[in-house]
Amino acid sequence: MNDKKRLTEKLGKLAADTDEIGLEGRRLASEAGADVLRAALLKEIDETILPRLLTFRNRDGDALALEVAGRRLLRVRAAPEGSVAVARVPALTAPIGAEDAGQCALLATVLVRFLGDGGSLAVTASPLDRRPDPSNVGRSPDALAISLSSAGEIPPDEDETAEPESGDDRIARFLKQSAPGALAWIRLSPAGIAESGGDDEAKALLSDLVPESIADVARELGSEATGRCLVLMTDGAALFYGSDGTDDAVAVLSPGERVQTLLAEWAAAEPPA
Amino acid sequence: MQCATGRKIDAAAGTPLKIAEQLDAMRSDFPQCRSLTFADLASGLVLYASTVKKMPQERLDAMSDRARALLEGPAAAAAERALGSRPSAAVWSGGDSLFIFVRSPVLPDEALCCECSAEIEVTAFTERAARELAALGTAGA
Repeated sequence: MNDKKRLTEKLGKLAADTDEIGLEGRRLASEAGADVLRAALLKEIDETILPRLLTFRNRDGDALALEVAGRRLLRVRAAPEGSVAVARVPALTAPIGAEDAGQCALLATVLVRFLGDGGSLAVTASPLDRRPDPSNVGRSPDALAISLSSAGEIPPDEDETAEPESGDDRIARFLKQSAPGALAWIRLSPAGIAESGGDDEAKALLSDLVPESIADVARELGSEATGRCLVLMTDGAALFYGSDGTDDAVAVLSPGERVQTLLAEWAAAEPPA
Repeated sequence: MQCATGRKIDAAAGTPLKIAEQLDAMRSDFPQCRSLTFADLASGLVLYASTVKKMPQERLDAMSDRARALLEGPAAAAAERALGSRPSAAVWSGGDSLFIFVRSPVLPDEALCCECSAEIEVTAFTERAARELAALGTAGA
């Protein structure tokens, strides 16, 4: 967006003064589709020059807090009232880099999920409680718009599949993200199937096939190296296998369109160097 | 650009020029793609390679071997039981690189083996690879 267009829109907005102020903040849209909410959120970032914490609230009352300055999104912050799974994803709450594809895909997924199928969107703004790190370039609304347009399907609610148990290794972090969208998943340890979730029949298939055949092939290809993963795809489904370099591994059976998301989630679950 | 062997190209999939044009065009459309190897899964032969930098034949052969292991071996048989059909594509992540293997929808013994950077858009890339393989298979039929 060029400066002239931005100024014109700002003047028009000031002249119209149609935004309602409610308890949840300044209402950006009501009874609107997801595309309108998405545009409103991006526009709000685009119009924020000074360092601000923008807290968005959707129709369900969920909150998503974004650190913004210089018209760029710098960081996602876990809002106390937010049910969006931001706090559980360290890669999301880290400073947003310009070139991190995995973080970008995750961010897009969270934004898509937060905006849902539309409804209302309100925002409150407050000064940032810390000075932005000048080395953090963040991401522009235009780059965010591209990520959002290519974001995958909205994952189903997390209660639809079994939640993996707590843990903070790479596989646990990966499963927290990928299990909700999976048809079935298993976590393998040297003793056998350590955890599993999803459809019973698919889970049984994974338990039967993965430890013997797919894990063997992955080992032959070099799974001893940390963080290797393998995805086998057909037109409609994908079988993901990942090993974190220990004796543990994970296998996920997923809809085919989630391949990119699975790879991004696996990359995002990598422990910091 | 690197013409690996010239073996079987005319019989299997049209002229070398046609293959070169298609694969070089595909690689230029996906700047994250470092190499494209057109391989025969049944024999393991590398039929053609389009690469950013010249690659040793051993490395191209290794790509073909990896494609066979993933699309034809025990993992593929296991995946067939889990997914309902033989895998049409496989992705192997190796550090900074993604290795993508796509089987021809027309001639199942032919495949593209690709080395890409991790930023590649996998779905768009595999769909394009399948289209190119289908075109090559149809041209050679």
